[in-house]
Parts: sequence; structure tokens; C-alpha cells
Amino acid sequence: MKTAPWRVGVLFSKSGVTEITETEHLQGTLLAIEEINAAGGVGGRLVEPVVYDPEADSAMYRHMARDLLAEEEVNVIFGCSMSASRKAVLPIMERHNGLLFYPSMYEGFEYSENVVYTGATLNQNTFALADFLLQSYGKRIYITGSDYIYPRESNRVMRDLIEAKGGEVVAETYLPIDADPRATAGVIEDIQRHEPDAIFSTVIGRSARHFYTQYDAAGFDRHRNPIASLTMAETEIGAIGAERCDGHILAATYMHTLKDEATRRFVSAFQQAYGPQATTSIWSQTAYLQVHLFARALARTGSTDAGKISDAVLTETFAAPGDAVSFDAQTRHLFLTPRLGVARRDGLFDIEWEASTPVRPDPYLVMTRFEETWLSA
Amino acid sequence: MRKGGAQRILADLRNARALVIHTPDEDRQTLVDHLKRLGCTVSAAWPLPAALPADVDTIFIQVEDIPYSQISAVLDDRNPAIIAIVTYESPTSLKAIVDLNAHGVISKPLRHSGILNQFALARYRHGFENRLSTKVAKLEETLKGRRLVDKAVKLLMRMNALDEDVAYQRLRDQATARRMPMTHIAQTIVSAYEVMEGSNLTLNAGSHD
Repeated sequence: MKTAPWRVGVLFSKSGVTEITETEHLQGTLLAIEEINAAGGVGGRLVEPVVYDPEADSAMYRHMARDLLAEEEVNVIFGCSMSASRKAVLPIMERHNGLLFYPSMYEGFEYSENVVYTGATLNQNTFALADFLLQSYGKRIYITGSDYIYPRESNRVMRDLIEAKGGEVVAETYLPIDADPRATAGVIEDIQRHEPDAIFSTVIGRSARHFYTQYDAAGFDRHRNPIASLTMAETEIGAIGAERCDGHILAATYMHTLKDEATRRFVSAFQQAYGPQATTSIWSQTAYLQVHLFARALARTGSTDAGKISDAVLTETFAAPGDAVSFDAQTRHLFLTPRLGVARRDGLFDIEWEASTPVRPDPYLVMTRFEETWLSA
Repeated sequence: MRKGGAQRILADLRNARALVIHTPDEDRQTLVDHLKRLGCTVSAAWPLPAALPADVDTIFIQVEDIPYSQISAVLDDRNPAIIAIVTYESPTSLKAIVDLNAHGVISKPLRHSGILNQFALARYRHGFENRLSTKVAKLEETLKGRRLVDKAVKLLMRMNALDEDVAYQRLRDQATARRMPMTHIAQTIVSAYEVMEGSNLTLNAGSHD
């Protein structure tokens, strides 16, 4: 049985409110698996993904995670994006002793020995953004978000930051997760009434695309009064239309326009696999790097046993696109480099600022000080 | 800690000095590691120490294996926030939680998820309970003072044939003149009366006015 493949579960949505970003998760995952297999697999055995599509539905995430662990008998799942799906899957991972590789930025305040977290925590994206907005655009900030835990928590932290640094939150509004264009138009009108200097938006997925499209149609000067986001990245901007988005801001730990060698290779391989116009982003990059981290751990353990992979991967490093990544074993999250980009006319980002070194993950916001200045004025 | 922003609740946990009183095993390690992760200062002890270290303000304690009388002796005049660690939901465990007046409970086997909730809730409830106790003590003191003043006013009225307002005003004037609290003057009058009465004597019932 030396040649039997290593079977791993993959659980991202190809439809539903987060179809674009989760498809990016999926593409990053499958690209990494292809690369590993092209190089001969791990210990002479190929990696075989068992791919399920939970259609952005939490109940389906739960059922499919159970199927993958109990029926398909995989031990490791790459999957989940929104916090609701991670929370739905978590008890299943613990009961069946599986290991979830979770690639999305999220709100933190979680620690499970059945999860490896490879997305940014709030101190790795939100904190520097507050300084940037206040210094570059003005003190009056409008906050809006989709109504669930990640936007609520990110907005709470952003409000505390803005207020600690002498800015003002002029309003804070929420939309349903799958808000229709009429609902997002209501927020646009509210923004017209408040005339903020900048907007911090944690609206996600399909609703965010309505929102950005309408913001353009309403005729705001995006370079003076941009929308800043932690999630609206290259590929979704391409779907909205790059010419409708220049000026907007992304705070994330990876951008397509990074200049390092690993990014160049990643972009080239990604476009070879998914077409010359395809863009990489924070969504595909984390999904991609976590599969490589897994493969390196697997090469050492020779087993997909959740406990063994978990122990081994926390001591792994990988020269990922944009960052040589390593774990903080105490929190099971990655050291990552915060970056700020302003969208250009071609839909990619000019990187306006980046931290000089990777920043320690702080999921419980234990070490991070709200008053601290990240950007010198 | 007063009711306030989420940040304030977290900041309170960061200032906590926790002691985990539990047999040295995997559960204890899980708890100690997670409390560190949450940013608080934590140490562990077993068996139950003879006295709580001076700076400890929160204890996590395995209640089923320690008689309540021993815990109570160690707590003595100390008043930490208490989170009980229990294995069973048996009547014995329930009684231990109630006897201890625990502010929070966590169940074994320990899971990371849930510790933060119980920790934060226990700290809040403990602070709230302390504020209530202080308030009750103050109210009791005030109430006792009021009773004393009423009693003194009644004595003055009876012995000097004054009406209530005048008697009260005299008491007040004395307090002001001597720069003493009214309760103190009232206490002096009531004590003097009781001593005289105990000696079968009376204060002059006539008036100087």
C-alpha cells in the first residue's frame, strides 16, 4: 500500500454569498496540492483531495465535515471561511479528533487543538489601518458591516482604535449577511447624509459587491473618501469592475503586487492553472500556504493522524508568497506581515505601507495596545 | 470593575492574579496554559496551601477533593473571585459550589472553549458582589444612626417639653458647635440617659429656657 494516496478533505463553497472568496480558497488549496504531487507527493505518495461543496450553509458544513471524518475517514480538512462555518464544524473536529486548517482572517478569541489558524488576527490587519485612515483621510469615520460575529468584533475594535486616537465614528450600521441591493443602497444614502472622511466596511461577499458598485454610481471621490476593508481583495474587485474601485483601501497580509520571488512564482503558477487574467489574493494565498505547511509536517510524521500533524506543523516554516511564515505555537496562529494597499485603476493594489517584520498573532488581544501608533505621522 | 466596554472586561482579566488549586495533571496544565494565553498572571498549587499568596485575587479550585472546612480556613479573611472546577454534577458537588459561594464553575474534562466566559463572569460577579456588600454596610450604618438620632430627639422632647422640630434643631446646633457628627451627640445623650436611668436618677425635667 506504499502507493496509496494521502486523502485529505477540502470544504469550501462554490456558491452562495461568499462564492468568489471561497472559490479562491479552493483554488489556492488545489494549486498547492498539484504542486506537491508534481514534485512526487509526500514520501512517494500523492495527496488526494476529497472536495465537498457546502454552498455557504453552516448546516451543510457540519454534515460534510462529519462525512469527511466518519465516512471518508480523512483526518485533515482544509476548509471553512466565515466564522459561522468554523464554529459549526468545530465540535465535529473535536469529537472525531480531526484537524481543521482554517485559512481565513477572523475575529480571534478562539483556541482549539483541533484547528490550525493561518489567517490574520485583528492585530495583524486592523490596527495599522486605523492610523492610516486618520492620518491620510480625516477624523470622521463611518463604520458599516455584515451582521455577524466577525464584522461586529472588527468594528468594535476599529471603533475603540479610532476613539483612542482622537477620531470620531460618525455612525455604525449593519446589513444582513446576504443583503440585497436595496438594503445596501440604504447605507449609501446614510453615508451621503453623514459625509464621513472615510468608510470602514466589513460588509462581505455578494452584499459588499452591491455596496461598492453603488458607491461608485453615487459619484463619491474614492481617492479622497475611500472605503477601507479587510476582505475586499483583488478578485472581488475584478468582479465589480476595477475602474469602479480605484482609491479603495485593503488592509491584509498579502497582495498580488508583492515583489518577492515566492509571490512571483505563486502568481505565475496560479495564472497557468486558472487563466492569464486570474488574480491571487489574501484568500488564495493563505489556502495555498497552509497546504504546503501541512505537506512539510506530513513528510516528517509519515501519518495524517491529527495529533501528530498538529504537533509537527506548529514547528514548520514555509517561504510563502509575501512572507516566510512560522507559527506561534502558544496560540496556533501564524506570524504575518500587516500591509496596506490602495486600489489602482487595474484593480490591483499599490502597497502604501507594510510592517518591517512579521507581527506575532494576538487572537485574544493580550499584548496589543490600542493607543500604540503603527504608522509614524 | 464597572459595567463598561468589552475592552474594559478584557483589561480586568489582564490584571488578574490567578491561583489554580488542582492536582498536577493534564487538566491543570490545560487550564494554566489557557489562562496565560488570556493574558493573566497565573500560578498553580497542590495540595491546598496553608494560606493564599498575598497578591492572589482569583482562585480556580478543584472542590470535590478538598473538604469545605479546609478551604474556608485558608480563605479566612481573604475574598478572592472563586471559580469551582468540578467533575460531577452530583449533590455533593453542588453543595460544595454553593458552600463556597463560587462565582463561576467549569466542568472536567476541561475544554478551552468556555474558560474565558466563566473567568470573566466570575470576576464581574465578584466585583459586583463586593460593591453590593459595601453599599449594604453603609446603609446599615446610616440606618443605625437614624434610629439613634430619633431616640435622642424623643428623649429631648419628653424631658424638655420641646416639639420635634425644635428638639432636632438643638441636636443639630450642638453637633455643629462641637464639630461632631449628629449620631455622636445623639449617642452621648442616649448613653447619659441610660446611665442615669440605670442608677435610678433623672435628668432635670425642668427647662432652662
